[in-house]
Formats: sequence, structure tokens, C-alpha cells
Amino acid sequence: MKNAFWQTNHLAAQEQENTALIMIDNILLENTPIEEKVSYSQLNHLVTQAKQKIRTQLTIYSSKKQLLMIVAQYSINSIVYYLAALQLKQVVWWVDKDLSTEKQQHLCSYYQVNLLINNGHIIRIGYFEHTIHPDLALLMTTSGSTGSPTLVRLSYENLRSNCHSICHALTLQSNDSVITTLPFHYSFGLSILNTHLNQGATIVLNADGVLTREFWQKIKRYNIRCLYGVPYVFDMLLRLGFARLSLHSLRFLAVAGGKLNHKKVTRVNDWCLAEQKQFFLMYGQTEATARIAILDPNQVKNKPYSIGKAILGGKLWINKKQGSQQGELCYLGNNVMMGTANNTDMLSLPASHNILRTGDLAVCDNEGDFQIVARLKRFIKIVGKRINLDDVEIFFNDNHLSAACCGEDDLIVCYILNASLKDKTPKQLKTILCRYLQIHSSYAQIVVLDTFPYLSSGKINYSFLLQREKNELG
Amino acid sequence: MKTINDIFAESLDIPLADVTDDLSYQAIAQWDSTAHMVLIGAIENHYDIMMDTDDIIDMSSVAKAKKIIKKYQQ
Repeated sequence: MKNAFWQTNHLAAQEQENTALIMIDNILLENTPIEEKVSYSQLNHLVTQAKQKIRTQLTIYSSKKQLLMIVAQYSINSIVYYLAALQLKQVVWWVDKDLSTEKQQHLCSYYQVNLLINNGHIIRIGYFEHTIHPDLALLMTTSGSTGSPTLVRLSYENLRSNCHSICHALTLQSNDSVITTLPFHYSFGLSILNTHLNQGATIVLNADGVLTREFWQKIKRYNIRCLYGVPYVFDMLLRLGFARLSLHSLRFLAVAGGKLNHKKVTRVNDWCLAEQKQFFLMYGQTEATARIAILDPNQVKNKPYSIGKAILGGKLWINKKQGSQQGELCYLGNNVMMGTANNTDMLSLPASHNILRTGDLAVCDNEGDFQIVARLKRFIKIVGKRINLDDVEIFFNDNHLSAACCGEDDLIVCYILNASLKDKTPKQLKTILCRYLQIHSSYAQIVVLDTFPYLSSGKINYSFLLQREKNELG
Repeated sequence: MKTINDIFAESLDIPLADVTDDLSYQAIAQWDSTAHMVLIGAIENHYDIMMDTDDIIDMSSVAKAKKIIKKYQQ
């Protein structure tokens, strides 16, 4: 069996003094920026120290496997403690650093988190004796912003296997320096960290967005070779104009976390072809650790709408309905999650099966490349962030409002029953909703209705509601 | 007539009173990259201009935005 990315002793032996992590502060404000570099051998040393600290906290109370929540900061310590926890076989749960204290506390008490680790500071917050399955390595939230308690359970094998498949597809090597563009509590963001560590590459820890001067200074200073983003990052790059950006050192661009419109794919790819860079179109889900499929960069010109083929070790197929070419996309591989969890007891469950029904409708062309045509599940993505529409309805219900929510990527429409509205105005509700979901108000619509339309099955007719709003918006 | 401060208030979803010259990008939660893109779009529409890469990146405060818009109007 191949080594895993968290085995820092192997990485240290192989990569030694190569730089693993770089943290930099205030390039603009200081003439001599404060730069902290950690080599792979230093990383192993730091992880060993962190293990000691965590172990002290663990053994005082219990010998059983415990639940550690790590705040997803772009810091050296966050990564060190993440790797240390994996080595100690404790369960890691990355949490959004921008999540409100209230939501964070709710999640902690709901799942009886034992230790909260924020930038290397360990706080004991609970004494619950969990019964956790020995294979369970990591918990991931799928709908971060609603603070939904549903978690994806990932095993050590899930992490190891997906990491190797991605490294293979992108042919990642130790000189493939990368800059962080996505947080670690997000499966795509975490997969970037894992894969680049695995290959002994340099990871520049960055919290600045692509619309800042600081970001581009870092790209230039560290000759970044790999740049990843959700579709929204590419919207911003396109708006800035590729020709004007300092991307000379780049080897490839890669998009995942939602569908980038095929016209935009072609615009990005045209630049890549002219500049001899590669452009990877990728598809994945947290339920499959991160990555499921990647399109061969040589095919992007011909198939800008495609997600390509399954990654190494995985298998994709379509569960066709009779008489139709399309059907639900299904995936089998060692990266398919152990299952989900809705409560503490479920952390003890073994892996259910290694087939994932993606909830996406797809077709397959005669060369075996797949294309997503629609989504079956009740969720949308706003700026790459997954939002479960049922959770939003529950949020309104908790506030004594009857709501029916529908939408598509980058648009959520909430229909509110007039009778439940009372003294609140649609504008106030929009503000409350956007604050709750942490989204910009331009992505949300509140519409007041006297009655909801129902299907003969008794379910709310969401497709009618969505079409109604799209007609309104023109 | 809409002022630049109005455009900021609308694009960032904040009260007009909170828009001051020294308000800067990423200093408040509302002014994130999404709002920055909305803001750029709103300014370009309103003043009928098309901003350069450098100006989009440099527009990191209300004061700087005013300076940049002035440059395009000359």
C-alpha cells in the first residue's frame, strides 16, 4: 500500500529541506515582508510536537477515539494539527472560520465535540465518550452556511485513495507550487492541500481573494504553477482579463465545485492554448471525498461542457431510464464516503457501500466522456457554496413563516405565504435570509404568495415556482 | 441623481451612513469578493465606463474608487 499524505515522516525522508508551507504577511505594508517557511523535515518535527500536545489532552479523560474540531484558518498551525490528528487516528472536523459563534457552538454541542483547535490552541469543550468507528478519519459539512448538522463521513482509505487518483490525473510533482484559493473546510479546498502535500510541493497559505493586489504579488513572488478555483473564481479572472495578469509561471488552471458555463470554459481554454498551459475541468462531490471525474485537457476545446471520465480507480455509469439516453450519474470507487451522519450515534457506523448516486442527471458520449445535464437533488450552489433548499425552508419555519424555496445555481427564490408574513416586509426577510446564508442580496429573491401550487402527488410544484420567477426576471 | 456613495451602499448591502471615504475592501464582512464584483458592475453601468485590471484591483477603498472614477471621466 502506498504512503498517505499525513505520514509526515515519509514526506520528510523524501523531501527533506524542500519547502512545504509558506505563510506571508503584509507584503504591501512592509518593505521586508514577514515570511515564515516550513520545510518538509520541519513539518514532521512540528507535527510530532503537536501530537504530543494533543495526546496530553486526550489521555487525561479517555482512551477512546475523540472528535476534534479544527477551525479552517490559512495557517501553518492549522495544517500541523490536522496532520497530527490524522496520525493519532482521532476524528477531524474542519469548520468554517467565518461561521458565527452561535452556529459553531450549536454544531459542537450537537455532535459533542471534544477538542476545539484554533490555530494551534487546544480547548477542551466536551467530555463525551464517543463510540467512533476505527475507519472514520474526517467529517465534512456539505452545507456550511446553514449550519446544517448533516455530515459526510470519510475514512482514511477515502482520503488516501482520492489523493492518489488526483495526483495521477494532474501529474502533480514536487515543483508544482500552489496558492490556497479555497478554504480547508470545503472538500475541494482540502483536496488541494492533501494532494500537494503528498507530492512534496510548496503550498502558499493565502487568505486574500483574486481581486486583491496581495494575491497577485504572491503569485509572482512564489512562481505559482497550479491555480484552482470554483466557477466564480474564473468569472473574476475573466473579468480581470487573463492577458493582463502575471500568470507566466503557471502550469495549469483547474475548475471544480460547480459548472462553469461552456462559453467561459472556451474563453479560459483559448488563453491556455495560446500560452501553452493546461486547463482541467473537474467534477466531484464531498460524498466522494472530493474528486470523481476529470476531463483530459486536450479534449476541452472539443468538449467544453464535459466532465470527462472517472479518475483512476473509479467507475462512472448512468442509471438510464427506459427509452432515455440520460439518467442519474452513479459512481463506484474507494473514495466514496462511509455514509452520512445526522447524529453522534452514527459516527460508530461502518462504511455502507462504495456506490454513490450523485443526484446529477447525465449523458455519456461515444468516447466515454460524461456530461451533466441537470440536478436531481434539492440543493443549489451560490458562488460555489452548497445550499440545501429544504434547510432554508426549515429556517423560515423556525421563524414562523411558511416558505417554499427553489432556485438554480447563483439564484435562490423563496416564496412566502402571505398569511404567515404578519408585519414583516419582503425586504426585511431578504436581509435576514442573506445574513443567514452569508450570501450577497443579488442572489436572492423573496416573493409573497397567497397559496402554493401543488402537484397531484401533494408535493409543492417547485419547477412551476422556479419557472414563474425566471419569467418575472426575464 | 445617484451618488457614488449610493452605489456603494446598494452594492455592499449596507446603510448609506456607513459609507465613508476610508471604508475599505475586506474591512467589513459585506465587502467581500462577490460584493466587489457587484460593485464594479454597478459603477461601470452607472458611469458608462470599462475599468482596467489594475483599477479593479486598486479600488480597495471608497476614496480610491472616487479617484479612479474621476480618472475615467476626464
